[in-house]
Amino acid sequence: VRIVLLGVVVVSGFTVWWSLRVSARNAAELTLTASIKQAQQALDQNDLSEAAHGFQEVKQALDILGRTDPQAQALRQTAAEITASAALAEKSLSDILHEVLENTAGASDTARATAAFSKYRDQWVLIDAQVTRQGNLSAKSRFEIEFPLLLGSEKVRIVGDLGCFERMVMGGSPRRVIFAAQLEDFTHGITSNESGWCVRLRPETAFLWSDSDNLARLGMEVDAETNRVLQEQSNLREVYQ
Amino acid sequence: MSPIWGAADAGRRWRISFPVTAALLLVAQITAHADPLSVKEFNEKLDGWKAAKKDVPPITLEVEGRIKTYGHDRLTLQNCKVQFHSKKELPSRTRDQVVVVGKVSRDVRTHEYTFQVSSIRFIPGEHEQFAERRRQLKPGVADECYALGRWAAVRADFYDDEKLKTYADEVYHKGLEIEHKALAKSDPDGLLALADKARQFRQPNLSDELTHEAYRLFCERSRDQSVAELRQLANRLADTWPEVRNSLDKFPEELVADYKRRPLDTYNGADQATRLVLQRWLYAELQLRVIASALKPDGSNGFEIAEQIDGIVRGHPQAEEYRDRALKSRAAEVEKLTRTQVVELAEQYRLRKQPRQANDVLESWLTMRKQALEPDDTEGLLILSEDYRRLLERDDLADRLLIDGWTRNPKASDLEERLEKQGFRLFEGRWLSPREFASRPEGELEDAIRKRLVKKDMTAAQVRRSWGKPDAQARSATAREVTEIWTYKMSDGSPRLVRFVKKAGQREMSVVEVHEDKGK
Repeated sequence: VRIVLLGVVVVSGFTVWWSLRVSARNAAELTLTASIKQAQQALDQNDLSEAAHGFQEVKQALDILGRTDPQAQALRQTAAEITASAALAEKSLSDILHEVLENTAGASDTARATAAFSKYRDQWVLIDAQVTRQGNLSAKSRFEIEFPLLLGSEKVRIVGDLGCFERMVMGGSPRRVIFAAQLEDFTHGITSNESGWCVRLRPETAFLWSDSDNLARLGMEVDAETNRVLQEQSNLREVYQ
Repeated sequence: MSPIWGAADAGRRWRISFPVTAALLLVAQITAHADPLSVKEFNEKLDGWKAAKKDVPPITLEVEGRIKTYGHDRLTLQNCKVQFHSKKELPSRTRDQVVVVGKVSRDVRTHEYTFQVSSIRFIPGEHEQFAERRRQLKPGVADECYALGRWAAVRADFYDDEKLKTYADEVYHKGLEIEHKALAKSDPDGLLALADKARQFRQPNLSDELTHEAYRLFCERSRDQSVAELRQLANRLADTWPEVRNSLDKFPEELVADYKRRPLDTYNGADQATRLVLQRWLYAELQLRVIASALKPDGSNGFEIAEQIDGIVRGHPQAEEYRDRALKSRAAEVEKLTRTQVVELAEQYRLRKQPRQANDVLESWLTMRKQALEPDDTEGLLILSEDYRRLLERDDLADRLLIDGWTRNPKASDLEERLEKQGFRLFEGRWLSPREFASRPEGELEDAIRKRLVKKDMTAAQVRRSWGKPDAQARSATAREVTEIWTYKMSDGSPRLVRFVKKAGQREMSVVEVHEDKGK
């Protein structure tokens, strides 16, 4: 009897789960088309916030549907780019750093600097820079982003052990990479085992950019070389996703 | 004194009394004798007798006339219908004017009338008589002048004697002047009566002058009169001078100015055509006051009033004043006007050669529209700026409007496009006119390029011209701007950094910071 009862419970549970899944998939199917249309319209109107919301719904629908086809991956990429575009840092990195500097008493005031920086944490920044894989395996970050920020006379580095660089930057020669990532922290080398001030990017959020229109929408000039880099990054994404 | 005169006394008394008696008798005869008949009067009597077919009454007549023919026993008088016969030989002719004494007889067979002369006497001619009579006129007595005038006028007409006519006119005029002077200065009715009399005395010019003087007084006295009374006076004037009903083609500005200074002298010294103009002007002034009484207190119907005035006299300054008032009245309510209405209003000002008022009304209207504009209504702002440009021809205000709108709403691409279309360039977040852009401190930058220096505000192209292609480039995008950092590696290995920024809305990035890392 117990076995029978257990069987009934299992079958019933599976049926409910299956029904809910089918229902969610059906809803996701419906949402997908509508959300793509809605998000695209918002994008046409340059309403990044609404477009980002729409593409997030698209991404969720794709996840529910479990789609991994190239079209779905392209939509996920667009969702990532538009989401980052809609939540870019309010100020330029230089302005942020100068603002932070005004709240610190010097290099030793790391805690206050970090606190001052925290309001920009999780905001996005798009970077187009040369990236070099570090030969020194003891270094905390495997990659060096050549983005020479200045804080007065002091150089500020952008660091982050970003996984998206893994297949893009091979060997020791610098490689141009266009990527986006969320800001994570602002620290001084004394406590972070890095020399001088560092702007740290959140590794798990970083992704390679691939759409030239989305890049141009942010005010970036897109020339032939940029298009080539974007195309290369797009190809890389398709191969490894 | 002795009661009985002697013979010597008697002779002396006779010598004294005879001439006196004779003189008295002569005077008595003269005074008892009526004036002789003129030839005209004599002809009329004859006509009367002929018409009645009666015998001529056996009375002695005296007929005075101008000799036409003169023989030893007969004579004829000018314009006289009978011959004058004398049984005695007539005296020698000494003058041309004669008084013939005698009786009229009628031939039973032929029914012809003949004057049988018993005596004749020569007298001075009418011209001499007129001079004598005029000399004897009592000063200031108009009736005597009129009587003499009539005496002369009758004879002048009868003989068609122009000179005598002139004499008649002269004394008529004198009589009328005497009465004119005696009239009270504010008696227009008396003046009109005198004008009638002047017309009867064949003095049309004087009659016209007196009529004008009367109506001028009427007009002066009409200042506080009602519209009905003004209309009545205007009609009366038009009945007197019917031609005043025709409109004046042009307002006689100079003539009216003269007239206002010296009304009587100007009118009396004017020719007939000019007098007619002045008569029309007087009538127009009365009509104008009637018309103007319909003007609304705010002057809003000034155009209708002015139109009516134009129908009477073209170019009257008061018509223009009414139009001005109407325009002011409409301009005062400019906020209620539509675009078409305000354009029409401005056009009317321009037609009246008042461009400043035209611009004022347009600017007021545009300002009110600007104030009513919603801050994010960029489409309305574009239309408004075009109106500033086209209606007011104020490109500066239109441009300012666009720039202010863009400052409030930097994402408004339509404003940006319009500004660029107008030749503006966005430079460091500021819109520069073509002139401002041309005069921006580029000269200084060019100088820096020649010296191989990089300065703030340089464009990427200028930095390239100065330092060449960078060794490395990096850029980042955040919400409001794109930052680009160029790195130049010097021969000693030290880097030089150039930071560019392109803010939202800017088309081109420019240098904001140049840094030489001497520490490395």
